[in-house]
Amino acid sequence: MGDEVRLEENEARNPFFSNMDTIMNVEHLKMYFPVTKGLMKREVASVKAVDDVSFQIKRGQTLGIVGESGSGKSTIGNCLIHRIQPTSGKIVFEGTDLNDINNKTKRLMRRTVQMITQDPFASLDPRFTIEDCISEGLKIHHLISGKKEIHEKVCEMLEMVGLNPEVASRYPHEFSGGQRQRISIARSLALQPSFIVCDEIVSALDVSIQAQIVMLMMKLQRELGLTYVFIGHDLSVVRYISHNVAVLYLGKIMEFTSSDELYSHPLHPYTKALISAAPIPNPTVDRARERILLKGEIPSPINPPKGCNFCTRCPYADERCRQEEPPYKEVAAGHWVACHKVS
Amino acid sequence: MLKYTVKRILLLIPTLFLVCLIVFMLLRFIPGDAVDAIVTRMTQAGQTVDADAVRAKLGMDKPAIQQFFIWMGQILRGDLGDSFFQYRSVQSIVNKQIPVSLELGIISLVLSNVISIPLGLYCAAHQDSISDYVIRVIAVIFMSVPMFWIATLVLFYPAHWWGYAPPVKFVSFFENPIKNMQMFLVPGILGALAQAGMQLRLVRTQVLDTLRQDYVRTAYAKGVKQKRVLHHHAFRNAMIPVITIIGGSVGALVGGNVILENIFNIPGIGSQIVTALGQRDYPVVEGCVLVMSVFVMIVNLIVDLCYKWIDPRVKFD
Amino acid sequence: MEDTLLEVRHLKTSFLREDGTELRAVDDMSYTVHRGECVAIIGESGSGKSVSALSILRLIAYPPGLIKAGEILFKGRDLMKLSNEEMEEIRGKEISMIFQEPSTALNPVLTIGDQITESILIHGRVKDENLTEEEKKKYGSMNEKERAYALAEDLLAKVDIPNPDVRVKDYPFEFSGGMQQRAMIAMAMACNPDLLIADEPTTALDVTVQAQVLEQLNQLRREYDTALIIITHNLGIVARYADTVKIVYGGKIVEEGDVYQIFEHPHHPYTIGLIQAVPRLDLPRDHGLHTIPGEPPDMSKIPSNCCAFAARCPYAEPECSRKRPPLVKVDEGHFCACLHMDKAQEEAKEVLSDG
Repeated sequence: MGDEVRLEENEARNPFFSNMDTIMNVEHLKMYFPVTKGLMKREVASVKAVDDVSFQIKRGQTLGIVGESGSGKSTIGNCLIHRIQPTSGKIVFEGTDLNDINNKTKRLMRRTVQMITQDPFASLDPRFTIEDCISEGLKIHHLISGKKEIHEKVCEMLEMVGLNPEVASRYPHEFSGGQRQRISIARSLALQPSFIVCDEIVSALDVSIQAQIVMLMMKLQRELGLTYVFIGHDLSVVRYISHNVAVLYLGKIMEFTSSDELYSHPLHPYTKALISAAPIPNPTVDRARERILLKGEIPSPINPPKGCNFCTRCPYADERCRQEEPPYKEVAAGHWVACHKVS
Repeated sequence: MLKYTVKRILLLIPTLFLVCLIVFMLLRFIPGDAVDAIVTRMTQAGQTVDADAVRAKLGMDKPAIQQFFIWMGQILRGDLGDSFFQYRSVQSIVNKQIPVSLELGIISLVLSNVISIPLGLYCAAHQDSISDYVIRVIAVIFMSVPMFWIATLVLFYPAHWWGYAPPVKFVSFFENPIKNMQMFLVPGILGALAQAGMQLRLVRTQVLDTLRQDYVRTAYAKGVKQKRVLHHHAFRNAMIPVITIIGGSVGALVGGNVILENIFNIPGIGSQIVTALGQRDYPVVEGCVLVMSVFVMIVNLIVDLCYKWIDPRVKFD
Repeated sequence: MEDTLLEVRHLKTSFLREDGTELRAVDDMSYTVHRGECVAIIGESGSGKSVSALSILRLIAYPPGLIKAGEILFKGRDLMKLSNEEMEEIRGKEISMIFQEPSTALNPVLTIGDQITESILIHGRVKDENLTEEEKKKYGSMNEKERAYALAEDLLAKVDIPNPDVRVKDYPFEFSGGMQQRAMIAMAMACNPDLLIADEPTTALDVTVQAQVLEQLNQLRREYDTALIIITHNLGIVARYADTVKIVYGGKIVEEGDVYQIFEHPHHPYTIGLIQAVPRLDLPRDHGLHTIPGEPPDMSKIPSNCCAFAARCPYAEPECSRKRPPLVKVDEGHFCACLHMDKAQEEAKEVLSDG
């Protein structure tokens, strides 16, 4: 007994508890990693992994962050869950500024904000059973006590993610990639989070399993009112699950807009190239499309180009783009772009 | 590369200073000193000696720190000092004995590589064949059987059956190569065996491991013949960890193999140090260890430079 | 197009496990590749798609792998009957291959130039008798090694590597992932092969780089009139480049046809499910994704005489687990192995018409 009472108490004590429309507000987030040299660890440069990024996330919605390697998308995820302290900038979660939270709210945040990664089991003790994995967080956060109650909760969670509760006594290595991903979702959900950062959670999975996980995440969002940040490199998957999409390039947001707008009215040349680079699985449609092929590869984030980050590969770049950084401005309601060529 | 080499050579200086300090200190921690040894010996010979006089003569009446800096000063002038017992300079001992140990070590080093690398490659190429099993079993035997035991057998049976014994007087290789080899070849082989066994197994597993790499598959897909895949693609990659092991063994081999030197009566630096230690002949021990340290450090530097040559990904900085 | 280059007949490749069981990675596959054609083999991980390609070059390591049966007719010769030496002549010269992970597929201790020139020299590509008139003018005065390096530089330039004369001396770790894969392509095309096999060539690359590399590969293939077998799980790439498509499931081909037939009139329930499981950028966000229930099968547990997809198939009936469905012609050049494809087709029409 006592589970529900305690949960309710927790809820009541929750300082984040409020009904604001915006669950998270990120302003001018910067994350620079120092590059050191020599014995004295002299700082010679910095990797500008995330460079002045601002966005808002609405409650119950999904923000997609899409970018190639080195774009800083995972770093943003780690800042959002407060795993790393950003160099500067403000993250306000449920009205609380993460820069000045105390230990108690930090603990609460560790529960309400969860992260799921590409292969979470790679870092898990292979001798833990599935039940151990899922119940570990429950015990740490004192959400439930009692062996029987915990077991029931674990079974409930497994059912919620579409697994047979009988698997609770088995070990991670007995499961396929898709099943493991379901288990890690169950593990996060057991803590009753309101906000989940999904970092490339379907990238390593087969096509048919990818769709299963995407559909599962969408179903859980509808049922539990969860808010997601969905990080990925596959534009079509990210767009499918997200309400809004932020296109990231070298630590900066190039374009931010709603998912439907993204394909119908992309404005930034990089977004256009990204859309063009993602082939559509229908030969008639795809072969009729305009192809934009970018030259070269992403520059190093230690040495980003002067002016617009994208100017080295942009087909439309001119002198201004190479000198002056384009402002990140709202060109239509909810549609933000950082490009000199877009008015 | 050049900058790195210079940097490493400069780093030798503080390292050698530390070696001096440690050797010096450790020696003084051993109970009993050279003065006791000399006094005991001379008393047994029926002479009366004044311990303090001996002490003063050897310069050991001064505080240890002062002795240390006096010794360091000598070294900086290129003088390793004189032996307490042997009526000759440490320099002459080193000059005479280091080449002996070096020869034994080099023979062992060359032999262990000549045995282990081709055989390791052969075993990898013929994985799980009968010859692979036989070679591996022999390798394990070499690794596990104590060397002094084999050495004793090797000395005893020829003497027992044919009355043959290896020469006991050292002859330089340039004077009489045959006599020299008669003395050195057998201990050289014995010194190589354990290292060869270990290295053979390492080469085999490393080559097998690289043969499973994607780039080997790429090479086959290009139409490269198996022999060339083995020698050109797998071998160099497999040697990267083997070089580390070879580098580690060089120190031990060049440093003189006391057991072998004793059994075969080879006047090497290993047995010299042991004798000197027993007598508390400080200058000899200190001088020999110092010279050997220089050798080992130079060899390590060469090994590190070899890495760059064999693995282009290694960066010196 | 009708000129047959490669004919794989009843290929069976197995892996023998330590516990004595046999994993039938490729279970009786047959297909044909014509000159200059781009054939896509689609399948999920463990479906046997890569093994079938490695089997063509006889690159299956024994043990544990073993090509148990089948004929691989390349230009009329059965590769299975060739000696190792004859096979080495074909590898890299007439059939070459590109692998998934360029960072591990290139030898880290050899320069890019060494690795490209290796196949050029082995196959005598720059011997006088193998040079074209144009090449003779260009390389005529050099010795063989110089010619090989000159050709390697030209190849690198062709795949858009900047400063090829400098980069040819670089080691693989000095190249980015995209450049490594382009160097692999240059290496594979060095001897103008008739057939190029690309095993997931761009899976490890970034999206925009992937598009560059594939475009390059396609252009070179056209220029040299090389047939391409592309092995992938990315349906988009297939839709963009392939002429014909083979859908592989559980080591068997379940459906084959030209790219339009497969994507627009799929017959097999697996093909239908797969096409609907991929989100499409060109449709509104909530276009509805369909999932195939369950997991890919454990290949060592499915018997040969059944439909491997039966366990996940919504139309499966008991007979599906007892009988292996034959590949049946459903249209010109379009074959499907399913006992209930009519039912699957009915529903597919509804779903696909939405798109």
